[in-house]
Amino acid sequence: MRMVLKLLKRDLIRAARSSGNWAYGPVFMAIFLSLCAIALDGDMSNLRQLGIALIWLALTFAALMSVDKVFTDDLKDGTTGQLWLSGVSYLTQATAGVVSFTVIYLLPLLITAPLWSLLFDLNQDIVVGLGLALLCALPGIAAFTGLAGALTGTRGKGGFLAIFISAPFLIPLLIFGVSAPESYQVSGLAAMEYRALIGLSLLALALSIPASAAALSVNTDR
Amino acid sequence: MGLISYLANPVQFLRFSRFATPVSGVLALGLIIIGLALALFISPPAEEHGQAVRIMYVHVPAAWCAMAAYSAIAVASFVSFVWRHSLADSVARSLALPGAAFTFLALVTGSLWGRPAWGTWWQWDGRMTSVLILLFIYIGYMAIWNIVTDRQQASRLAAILAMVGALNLPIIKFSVNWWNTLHQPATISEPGAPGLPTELLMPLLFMTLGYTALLAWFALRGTEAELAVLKRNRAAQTKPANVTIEDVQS
Repeated sequence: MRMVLKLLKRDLIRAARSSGNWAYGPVFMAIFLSLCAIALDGDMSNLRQLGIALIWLALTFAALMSVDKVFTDDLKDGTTGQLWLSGVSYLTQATAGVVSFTVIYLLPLLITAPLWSLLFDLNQDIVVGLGLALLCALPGIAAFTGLAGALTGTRGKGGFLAIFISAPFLIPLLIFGVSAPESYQVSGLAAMEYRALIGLSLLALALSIPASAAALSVNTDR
Repeated sequence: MGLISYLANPVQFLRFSRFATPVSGVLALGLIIIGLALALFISPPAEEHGQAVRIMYVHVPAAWCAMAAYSAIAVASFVSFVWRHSLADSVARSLALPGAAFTFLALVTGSLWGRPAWGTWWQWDGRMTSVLILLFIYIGYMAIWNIVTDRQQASRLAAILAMVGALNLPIIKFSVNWWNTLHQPATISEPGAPGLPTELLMPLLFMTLGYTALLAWFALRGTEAELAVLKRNRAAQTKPANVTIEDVQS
């Protein structure tokens, strides 16, 4: 646990010095959503219906596009192997990778997501429901994206491959996530979708972190 | 178990596959021809579906084989991951493309059948969505084999993905029970299910056995090819290079 925190601290310092690498995600989201709104002719009645789905899609793609930030740098310069030699297990590294990816790359997306709802004229209940749904799904998104990052290693071509690999696993999250805000209006947090999202996230963590650890070990020994 | 450990030896495997491959190939051809003849000409049209029921004889075995191929990939990946046996990942690798093809066939024929039966080509219900996800998993699995150049690394990374992807299999199987969907629930396999009359069941049985034999042929043939490639690569490493100055193009 202490090692996870140490690695997280290291990644935070790195992100702070990286002249804003972490900001690409929110900026991508802003551009993507503006383009969507323009492509739909700025028609508010259309945008209001599609808003939730578009924000979900934008967030998923933004997460997938920063997938080569999770483990790639460490794999490339040999840090992963060095850490393993000094007694930090791959499981610890995989956990730390997923945690710091969530904090550095996904939290900014989550925090800015309500802002984009302005573009789509969503009402307050829906925005709260959307934020909560994103919060429940965040660990799942991070876990599956991390797995794709660990599997592709240093070969990822700007997240293209990661989309191939993790898209099938992200579909269930997307299905429940998109319908969650609607149900929130009716039954609040008791809606079935939130439990489904939390369950999927837990399942994702339980499966992906050991699998990512195994993938890291394969990618370091040659 | 004894058979598996006997076949785990590449030399013994090749001895076995020398007769098993043609046998499964001929069996697949014969069974599918008989099955098609029964399905297209001899069996009567069903009461509810009319002539469209004949799509079933292609659709149902394809869906079964798609699932069977993925299950086999998952098991073989587990064997290859735990015991690092290269034959197991050859089998898994050679099942991926036919499995994906069967999944695609099941989706296409299902869509063709859905039009007369339900009045729609496609519906985002549990069964269809989860089978589509299966197709995506197959694609991701093949993508890993494609991009990772080192064979040993590729086999282990692909095995990890295949094992995580196995999560989808129970979802496909039970999707028709969990969600109230357009797709009908299991008709044959479960106790108390309605079942099929014999004249419809026979062609289905022949087609299923034929498809399974075809899958076996793909697995055996693909593994033979992989072994041949490995052998050739090894030969290239052990033999001295036989290049003279004249061979090198200036």
